Amino acid sequence: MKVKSPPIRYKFANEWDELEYLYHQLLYWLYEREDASKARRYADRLEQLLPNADPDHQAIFGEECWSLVYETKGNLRKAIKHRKNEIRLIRRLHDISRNAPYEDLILRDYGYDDLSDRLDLLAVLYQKNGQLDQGMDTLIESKRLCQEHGIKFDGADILREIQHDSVHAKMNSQSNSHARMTRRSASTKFREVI
Amino acid sequence: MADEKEGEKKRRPKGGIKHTPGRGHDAKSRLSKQKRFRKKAAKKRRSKLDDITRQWDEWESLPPEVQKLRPDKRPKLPRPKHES
Repeated sequence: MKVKSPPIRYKFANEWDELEYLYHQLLYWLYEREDASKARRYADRLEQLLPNADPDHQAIFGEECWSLVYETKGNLRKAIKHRKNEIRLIRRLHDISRNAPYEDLILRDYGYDDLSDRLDLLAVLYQKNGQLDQGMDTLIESKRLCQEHGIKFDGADILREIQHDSVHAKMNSQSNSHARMTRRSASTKFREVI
Repeated sequence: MADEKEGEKKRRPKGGIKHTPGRGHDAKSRLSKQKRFRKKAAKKRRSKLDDITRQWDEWESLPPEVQKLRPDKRPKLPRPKHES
């Protein structure tokens, strides 16, 4: 069944309200519909709003939006940078609110399961960018976090994919080096013959 | 005499209808519906205001650093002025 797009809105209470709306639209068009051109429209609007809303890159949600914007535009290096910053800020939030009266309130939106989710997303970005080792390390970290807090690990399929990709990459590099070696030995033999 | 009797209007007994509270309407009548809808709308309004007040209380209980990390948590509507 096709998932419906979030309702179109024209009025917003404040810039964070508009950011939230654009974020959901972007997620829908990028992941549900896989329509990059439509997603790029929302990414452009997000990119215009974000410098005003979060100029110091101190907001967790702001960093998530930046990461999505760059992912949509194909700049994976910057998408990774902002996703990493988002994870750092979530960890900081956990440190501040540990045993505080508002801990429950904070963990409601950014709990350990959300942190694990963000780690999985970072791993996918690493995988897309060809950084398989970093992707694997990130997923292992996510799995450990899930085990520590008794949460179900959702990144098992990504981990399998990355392992599969890294095995292929190693095999390719070995066969390439083997081909290079045979080419080199052939050329030396050719020179010797001459 | 006969003419006078003919010209006289027929009147009901003086005093009108006896006041019988609760009579004259049923569950589907306009008045009872109005009353019911008013109560329902007031309840909805009150719960919305309570929710906004709760959101503001939660926001103000957070330290500044947490507020900086979570600006999206700031309530979108202004704090109600006349709270009951």
